[in-house]
Amino acid sequence: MRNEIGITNIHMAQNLLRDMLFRFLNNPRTRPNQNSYWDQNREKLRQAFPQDLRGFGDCSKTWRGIAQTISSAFSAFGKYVNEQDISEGRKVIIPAWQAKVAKSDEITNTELFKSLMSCWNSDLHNFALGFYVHGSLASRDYTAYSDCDTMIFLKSSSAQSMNDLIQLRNILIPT
Amino acid sequence: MKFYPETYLPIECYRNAVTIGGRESLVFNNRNASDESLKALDNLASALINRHRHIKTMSVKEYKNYLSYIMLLPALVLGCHGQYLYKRDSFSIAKPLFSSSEWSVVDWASQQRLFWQPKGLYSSMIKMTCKVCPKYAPLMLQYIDYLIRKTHFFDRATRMRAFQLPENFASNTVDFANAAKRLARSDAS
Repeated sequence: MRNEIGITNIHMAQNLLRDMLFRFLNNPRTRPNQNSYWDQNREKLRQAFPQDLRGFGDCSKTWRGIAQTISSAFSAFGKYVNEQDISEGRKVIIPAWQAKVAKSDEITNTELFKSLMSCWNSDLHNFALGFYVHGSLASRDYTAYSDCDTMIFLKSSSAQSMNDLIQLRNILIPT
Repeated sequence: MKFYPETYLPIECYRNAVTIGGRESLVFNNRNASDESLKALDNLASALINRHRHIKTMSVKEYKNYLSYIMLLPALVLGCHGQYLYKRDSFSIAKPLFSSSEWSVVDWASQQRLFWQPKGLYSSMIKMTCKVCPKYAPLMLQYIDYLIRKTHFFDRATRMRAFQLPENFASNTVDFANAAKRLARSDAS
């Protein structure tokens, strides 16, 4: 039986999960017991998914506890998505960097792309569907001001696995 | 990508992207994100209004973010009307919606982007910190930013050109942000 929660709640929960996952995987300064960020957001998720309380992990003081919260919430999330709220699919082809960037003569950027590819080949491909560079570096209209904008799409199975999330954090944050 | 809100990153941005590894073909099933688009725009416009007084004492990172906020606002206005575009492509479509004085803020931010110094002292500090101590680089760079702000070292560290705000920058910035809020809610654009 489908669980029903409001549209605002499912959108809020998705944004909250994205933010939590982003902090967990990207921010080396984040500490599990540093502030109440994790506790507060776990409570918000409990309110968004009231029928799935038990799976959300009780401990936010360790990385494992936080990974358990995030992975459990991702597991529950799919049950609440309303098919009527989804539009028809739009297919996008994203060319490999070798085809688009490597022909250029900018050695520094070629080195940058090679190091990103090395990260993908060594570990990341086990957990992610794809690894992309977007923004000015990809469209080659960058200036000295430009950042390197990247995007990783995780596999559902990895987002729903506590162990995978912990391994991913170790890959993405240098130690 | 099922249940994808384009507020995260417009699909047009993926058309200009490159694949480092993994799938080169993605299918996006969008969900409605109109409320979130409006909220994002309101937050950004409010940040522009609240922070413009501090522009001369901002750290390098804050200043860079501030310029990014200005240049992102036109794309967000269009996003509120369901037109999620690549930021670069949004300028030509959004420009006629604003008055010339309001748009002067975007022109100024674009100019600052082009004048950004690639080999300034600040860039050297970032490179050296990341190379010597990658683990603690974010924390160290945050402290360096703090020192730059405290000592008003910003101009000397980052730019060769004199830092001059355009005439009526404050009022134009407020007008630009308010116009964006208004346009996001109007039916005409």
